[in-house]
This record gives sequence, C-alpha cells and structure tokens, in this order.
Amino acid sequence: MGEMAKKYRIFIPEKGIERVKEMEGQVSSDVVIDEDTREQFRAKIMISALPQEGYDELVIQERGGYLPGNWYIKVLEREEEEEEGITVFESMKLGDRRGYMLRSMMAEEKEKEKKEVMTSELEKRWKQKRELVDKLLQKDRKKE
Amino acid sequence: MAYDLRDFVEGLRTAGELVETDDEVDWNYEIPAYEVLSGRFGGPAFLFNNIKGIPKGPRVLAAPFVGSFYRPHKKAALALGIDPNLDRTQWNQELGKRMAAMLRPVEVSTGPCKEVVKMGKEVNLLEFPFTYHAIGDGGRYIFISASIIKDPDSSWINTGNYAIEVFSRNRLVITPYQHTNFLAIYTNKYQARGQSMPVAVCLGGDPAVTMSAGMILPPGISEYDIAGGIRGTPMELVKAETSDLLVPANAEVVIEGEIRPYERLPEGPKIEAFGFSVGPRQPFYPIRVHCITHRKNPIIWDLHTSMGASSVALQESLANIAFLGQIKTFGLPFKMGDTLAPTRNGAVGIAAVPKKRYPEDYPGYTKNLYDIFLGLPGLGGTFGRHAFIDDDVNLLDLGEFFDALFTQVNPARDVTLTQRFPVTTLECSWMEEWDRDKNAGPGTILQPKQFFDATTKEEPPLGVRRLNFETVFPEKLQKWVVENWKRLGFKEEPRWNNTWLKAKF
Repeated sequence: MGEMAKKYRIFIPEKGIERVKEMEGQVSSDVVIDEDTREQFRAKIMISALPQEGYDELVIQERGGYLPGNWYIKVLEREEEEEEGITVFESMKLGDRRGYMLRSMMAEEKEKEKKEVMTSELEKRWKQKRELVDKLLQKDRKKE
Repeated sequence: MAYDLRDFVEGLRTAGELVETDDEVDWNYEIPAYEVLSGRFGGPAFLFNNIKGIPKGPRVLAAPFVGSFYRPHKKAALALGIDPNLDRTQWNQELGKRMAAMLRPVEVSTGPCKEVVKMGKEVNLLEFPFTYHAIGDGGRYIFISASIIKDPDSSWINTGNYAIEVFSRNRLVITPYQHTNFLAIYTNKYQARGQSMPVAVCLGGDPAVTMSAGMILPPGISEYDIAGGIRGTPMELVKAETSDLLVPANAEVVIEGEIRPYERLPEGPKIEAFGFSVGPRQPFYPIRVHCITHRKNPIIWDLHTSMGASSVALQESLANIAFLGQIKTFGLPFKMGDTLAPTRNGAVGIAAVPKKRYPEDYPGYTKNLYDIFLGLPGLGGTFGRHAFIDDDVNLLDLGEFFDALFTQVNPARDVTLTQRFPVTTLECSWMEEWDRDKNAGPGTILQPKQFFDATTKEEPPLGVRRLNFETVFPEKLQKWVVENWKRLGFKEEPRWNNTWLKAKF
C-alpha cells in the first residue's frame, strides 16, 4: 500500500460516534478540511477505521477534542460550485432613499409591474402584427 | 500623504517595539505562537518577511497591539501619535475628545490599494499568509480588518471588525454577532428584500479605521468619521471595483464580494476575542469573493486572542470608549462601561458604573437603570453576566473591581438571575448542551442573564467606602508619597488612580 500523503479533517456533532459508524463504508457528502492548506471544500467521501488503498489520513473532530483511534478517508469527488460570474453592484446615489424608504420601495415595485404589463402588451401586439403580416404574405402568394 | 500601516510599522521600529526578520516562518501555528509569547510580557511586534509556502511578496505584521494590562493602549497610542505613557483613564479621555471631533472622509480617484487588481478566477485567498491560530480551529482566520457595508436607505457606511474564516480560495465566512449594526443592515434590509449585500473586507490602511471598526457605535454613525476625528485628518477613500462601497485608498488588501440572502456556511470553532475557543461549528455568513485589490508586497496584519495579545489589548484600549459613546448617545447616568475580558479576569461580562448615589430618586430607580443598561444591544444587551459598581471604583483596575465585587455583594440580595434572553455564543465555553440546542440565530443562544449589584448599599458611618490609597489618605499626602516614590529607590511605577476619581467623560 502506498504512503499516505494527505491529511484531512471533518467535524461531527457531539457524541457523533454513532454518526461515524453510519458513515463507515458509505458514500457521504461533507465539508472536508485539507490539513496542509486549511482549505475547506464539500466532497463526496468514504471513511474507514482501517487503512486501505487510496485512502488518506483523517482527523475527526467533535466538540472538545478529536475522536480517538485512527481514521482514514477517501475523497471521491470534490463538489465544485457552479461557475459564477462576477457580481458588479449597480451604484445607487447616496441618500437616494433617505427618509422615503417605504415610498421609494413602493415606487420601485410599481415601476416593475409597469414594465411587466408593458412587456406582455408589446408581446400581444407583436403577435397580432406577425399574424397580419403572415396573412398578407399568404394572400400575395395566392395571387402569384 | 495619509498615515497608513507602513507608517505604523516605522513608528514601532523607531520606538524599539518591532522585531523584523527574513528567516522563514510558517503561517501554520508559528507566527501566532510568537505573538502569544510576546503577549505574556507586553513585548514587541514582529514583521515577518519570508513566509513558508508563500511566493515572495506578502509579509506579516504580528502582535501589532500587544500591551500590558495597565497600558494596553501602548502601541495603539503610537499609531495615533498619542503619548503611550498616559494611564488608561487619560488615554480614554484623550480618545474621547478626539472622537467627539468627527471628520467626514474624502473620496479620491485612486490609491495604492489598486496597485494589483485580481478578478474572478484570478482570485485566490490562499495566496496570502493568513494564519492558523490554534489547535482545533476550523480554519485560518482574519481577526483584524475593517468590513465595509452600506445602509441601502441612507448615506450611512458601516465599518466593523469581525472574526473572518478563510474558507476556501474564493470564500470567506464572516461572524458578526447579533448586537452589531452589520446584522441590522444585512438581516433587516438586504436579506428582507431578497438582495445580495456588497461587502469589502479591508486589511491595513490607517490603523484609526480598523480601531474605529472595533468599536460598537450607535446606528447611523460612520466609523470613517470617527477615524477622521481620532487621526485629526479626513480618511481618504476610493471606490471599490465591483460596487460603490468606499474603501481606504491606502489599504494593504481589499477583498470585495457579496453576501447572498439566507446563504450560510459552517464556521468555527475559533479562538475568540475574549480568550477562549468558541464552538461547535455554527452557520454563518459566506462572502462570495469576486475581486481582490492590493498593494505590491502587502503587509497582512495578524492578531491573536490569547492573554495580553493584540486582540485583548485592543479590546481593553477601545471597549470603554465605545461604551461611553453609547452611554452619551442615550443620555444614561453612567460614568463608564466596560467589557471584561476573561483572559485577564476569568469572566465574560459587562461592568458599568452608575453615577447615581443613594438615596434613590424613587424606590426602584436603580433597578430601572440596570434594566435599561441590560437591554441596550450596544451595552449589556447581548451578554449574560453583568456587574454594577460605584463610580469611585476604577473600572479600569481589576483589583478595585474585584474588591467591590467581593465586598459589596450580598448573595441573597444582590445577585439576580433573569428569564432567558438571546445572548452571544461567546459564553459557550461553559454553556450546557441544552443551551446549544436553543440557538436563536447565528452566534446566539437563549439563556438567563445574571447580574451583580456591587454598589455600596448605604453610606458607611465614617464616610470612607473602601480602603484604597486614594480614599484613606489626604490628597496632599498621596501626592507627597508618589513624588518621593522614585527617590526612595522603587523601580516599579506607583499606580496612582486619582486620574479616575477626577475624570469626567
């Protein structure tokens, strides 16, 4: 069996030995800490009380200390978060709402409603127009 | 040119309070260990230029505020150009005077904090030597920073200093407790509207900003204005890259991101500002980091929370004056308030000094006064244990405080246990399992409050309430003895507490 290069840590609730027993040999999803970088990430893991091929060293921490004994972990798959864009916040003039919080929020809501109404109205008109154009085109084709 | 962290480093060097080394040190335990030892004797700060596993560039300033109990403000005073030899009362008076003269910040077009800009996938928090502080910690932590947010309904910019866990390459987890303006803004406004809150975590810059960020100030007051007051010149701010938040132009590092509504990540355990480890893991607020801007070769400053280390020294230097701000804002008849740091005295609690002497204005007056103090979020509202002492007891001297606590409290009459209220989990070093099951929110549990009325209940027959140097001898004689102290060959400084008795805040 190869040398165990990595060391990880997971947390369990108080008196979590039952939880650990449930986890043994099963695939579970948990937040894991890489003990070299102290980076945390969610991953699909399997844990074991016996050293096995492909397993790394594991520390299990509960409230007040570490679970006794040797533990081992296999990180099956790191659950990467979905790609996300950079959120750039629109700037709002300082004091825009000062003293008019409720009024300005209501106005914003109304504005949104207005936009929705306008959009559906435009869509309706666009459909009517499209139908008209189609009819005209069909007439032209018949003439030809 | 505005004062910044690099000026502070030079100030520490000039005062003989800095050890600089190019020897390789590890961010993992080693750097914090130097600070903890330094904290034991009010020792030096450290500038580490060579950090294991970190490409040459970032440096770490550790133990920047280490100080002794009687002079915790020693280095903070250096940073502000205040005489470090002032005693605690004089320090608070000077700071209070400066804070009262608030100065609005000015916006500038750019600044050194924009020397390097990294966006999106380029962001990697693990490139910086954030330190790992103690066995059992849930991750690396930033214990000194200024987190900038903005009230969406006004021009109020709020700045706070919170423990922040470095979760991964692009996630931080921030831990503001329930009494903070941070939560008032995030929970009641952004989250209630289903909106993300932009946030900028700033490291370095003028220490006055970070110091102000560490104070619990009343809602609506901007810490930038306070920082301008204590520095005596307006802070220079520049727009962040991904929001219109204004950040210190000369910050070493600015981490920009957002906190989404109802999003949480596991945080902790961690060592806390009051000197013990707080756990178990709690759900706190993740910051999705989108951009990092920093100076070239940035200096990351680092605090530890053990006895005498920087966090505790800062707490002791600034908590009183923050309480005073609350007391003045609400017009309460108290001389002073204080957070009692357990690393010095073994208890988490708030102590306060009511000015009112007996007889009471009406029966129950004092009780009403205590109720108000215990209920206000910025004062006793979020802590479990409190004590009230007379205004001639120097709250800034634990010897006097404990003397009052043990001589004036009748356990049958003066100890009160209330019904349950939400209090911070800072007290969880002793809380029971059933307490933890009653989580009222992130960092909050429901538990009873206990308070001790350690004020004198009646005037003593001879008019001397307590046997102190300041109360049992005529003032002329006190002065004579203090003046002769050194001439008689004593090397230890005489602690003459007359400044407290005379102090008016």
